[in-house]
Amino acid sequence: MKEPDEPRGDPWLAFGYLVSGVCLYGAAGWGLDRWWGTEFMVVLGILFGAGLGIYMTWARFNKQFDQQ
Amino acid sequence: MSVSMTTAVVGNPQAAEGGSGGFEAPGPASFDLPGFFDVAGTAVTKPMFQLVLAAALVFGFFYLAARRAAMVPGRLQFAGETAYGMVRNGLGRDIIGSHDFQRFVPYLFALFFFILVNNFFASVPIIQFPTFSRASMAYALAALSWVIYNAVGIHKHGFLGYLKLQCVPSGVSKAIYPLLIPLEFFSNILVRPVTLALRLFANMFAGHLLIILFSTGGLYLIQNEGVVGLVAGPLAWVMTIAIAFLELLVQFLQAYVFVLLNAMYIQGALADEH
Repeated sequence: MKEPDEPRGDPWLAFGYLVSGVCLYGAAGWGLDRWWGTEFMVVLGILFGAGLGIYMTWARFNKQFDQQ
Repeated sequence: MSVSMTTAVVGNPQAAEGGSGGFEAPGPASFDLPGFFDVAGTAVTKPMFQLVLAAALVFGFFYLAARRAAMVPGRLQFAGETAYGMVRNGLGRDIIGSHDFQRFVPYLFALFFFILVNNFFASVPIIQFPTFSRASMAYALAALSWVIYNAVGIHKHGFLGYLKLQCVPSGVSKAIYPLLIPLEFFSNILVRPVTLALRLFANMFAGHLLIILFSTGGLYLIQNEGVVGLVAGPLAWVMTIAIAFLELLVQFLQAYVFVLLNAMYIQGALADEH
């Protein structure tokens, strides 16, 4: 921690979290759709995954600011 | 002109002659260079030679620079030491930390100059092809970095300890761990190397594609569009030159970012808690 305004950690983390969230929970929702014969679970999964990704990004960077 | 450009025009004679087909924009096919010769059924192509040439150039330059190390450095030794110091201090020490960085400097250093030279090939006359615009080449480098940062982490924390470090998020309530642990695993172990490779590949690919587009498009305009084309064509070529200079910046930046992220991943694998 040299300079207080220097970003620490990988800024691409946010991208990784969003892509992972959407892919992972989107796939889970799609699987549930196939299983239950519905069509809306994939949408819920994608939105849920995106929400989790945003939350993880927020939590991670929030923590890094606290450490400084 | 570059080989890829010539293939784009030669492989598409109608565009050059202004036949009924009209102008055909360059695409991913423009990057499929014909092989020089076959080895065991596999065509040996220009980017493969570029990889070997880049390795030889990097080795040759730094061997010559380090061969006669003197207290008062000559011009070559000074250039070599400045380049080495930039990677060692700016990427290695500042990111990984002064305790552990020494053993990763050779890897980071070799990686940076190997990528840099390969990227600069896009702007070197006659070669004029960015090696990492072939996605497989970038994926190979990312796979190497994936093996290294995971091996480093497993070596330090043990297999389960490392999985815990990479997959169990900190700073969030334990109640949503079951939802977040798969996400962390996916993000840190699976998506990371793909984004690493994609960034390098996509930048090199897009830059070269723009140059092909503006140079072949300019030629087509001059040959086929009469007076308007005679004005617009040279303008497109001016754009080609401007983009080529912009590409020099992108080439350096992408080599730097690739190594910077490698250093960050190694640092993350070594960290006690992230």
